[in-house]
Amino acid sequence: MVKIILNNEEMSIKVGRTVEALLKQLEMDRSERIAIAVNDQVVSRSDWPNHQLRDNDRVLVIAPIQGG
Amino acid sequence: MRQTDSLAIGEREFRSRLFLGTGKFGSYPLMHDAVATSGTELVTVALRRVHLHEQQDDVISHLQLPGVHLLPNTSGVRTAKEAVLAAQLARESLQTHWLKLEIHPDPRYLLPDPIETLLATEALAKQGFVVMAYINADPVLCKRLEEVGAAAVMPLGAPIGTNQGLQTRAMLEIIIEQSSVPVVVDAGIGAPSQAAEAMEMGADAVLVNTAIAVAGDPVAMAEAFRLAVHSGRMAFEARMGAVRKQAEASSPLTAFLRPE
Repeated sequence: MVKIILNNEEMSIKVGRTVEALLKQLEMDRSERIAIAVNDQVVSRSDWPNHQLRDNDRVLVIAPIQGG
Repeated sequence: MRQTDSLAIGEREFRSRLFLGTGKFGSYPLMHDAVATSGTELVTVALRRVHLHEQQDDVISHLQLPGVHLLPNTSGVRTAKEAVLAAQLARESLQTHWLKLEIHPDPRYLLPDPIETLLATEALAKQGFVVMAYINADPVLCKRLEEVGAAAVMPLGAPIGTNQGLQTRAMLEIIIEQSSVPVVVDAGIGAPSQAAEAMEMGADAVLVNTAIAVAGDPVAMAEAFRLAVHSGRMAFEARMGAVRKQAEASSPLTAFLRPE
């Protein structure tokens, strides 16, 4: 298992999990307008299936909300 | 209604000079109807960390109206570095390179940090973003932002959400006079008359959120703002008469009651 920080919450995932697999585990739909950064670098949608998460990665998942 | 000039920002032309923020509306249908009634073609949205254990509610689907574009903001960031990441995430999420850059670390007055804003504008313009920078009404800063590639400057009338109107009027006048990029008066506009005032002064557009969203009837208020912005712009284009100290008669002063 590797430990990641997901939106400030610690979480353990299986070794070799990709961003895509993580989102599936979180029951997030690819069609949602989310965007992902790992260690402050944006991981574009096309790289989700390939980008493997490593120990201590900080993963940020954001989505649009109402705002001025 | 008589047409007014369109407004060019980046690669787009806007017929409406009223931009809307989408915060604080009591419900999505109310927000949708206010946006539709306002005639706006540019609406802001914010970004936030997804709450992993909550059902996601898709605000964007309620903003998909013909001719309405999204302007993601960077609210919540405190530095230029954070703003650049937020901008890149916004582009990824919403597939737009348009950005309302706002960096306000101070939670009480939400006043924008001019130095971080300048640094972020320069970095983001180089990365191809259409940067609309939210700033205090500082004419020197506006020129500096223009030099580093801002597509528009968004000086505040008063602190965000205060409905105080154009407290910065004298500085806004200088900004409008000097700016080579569009000037969008943002923040503090609390009444349609204040929006009209900004437009009469020659502002290129205004951005309104709180005044519409928290009104008793937000949809009616959106219409009031639409008319005020149109009216103010029309007055500006029609060129208003000069302000004078001494009276100047509107009627001929021939003395018909008494012989001259």
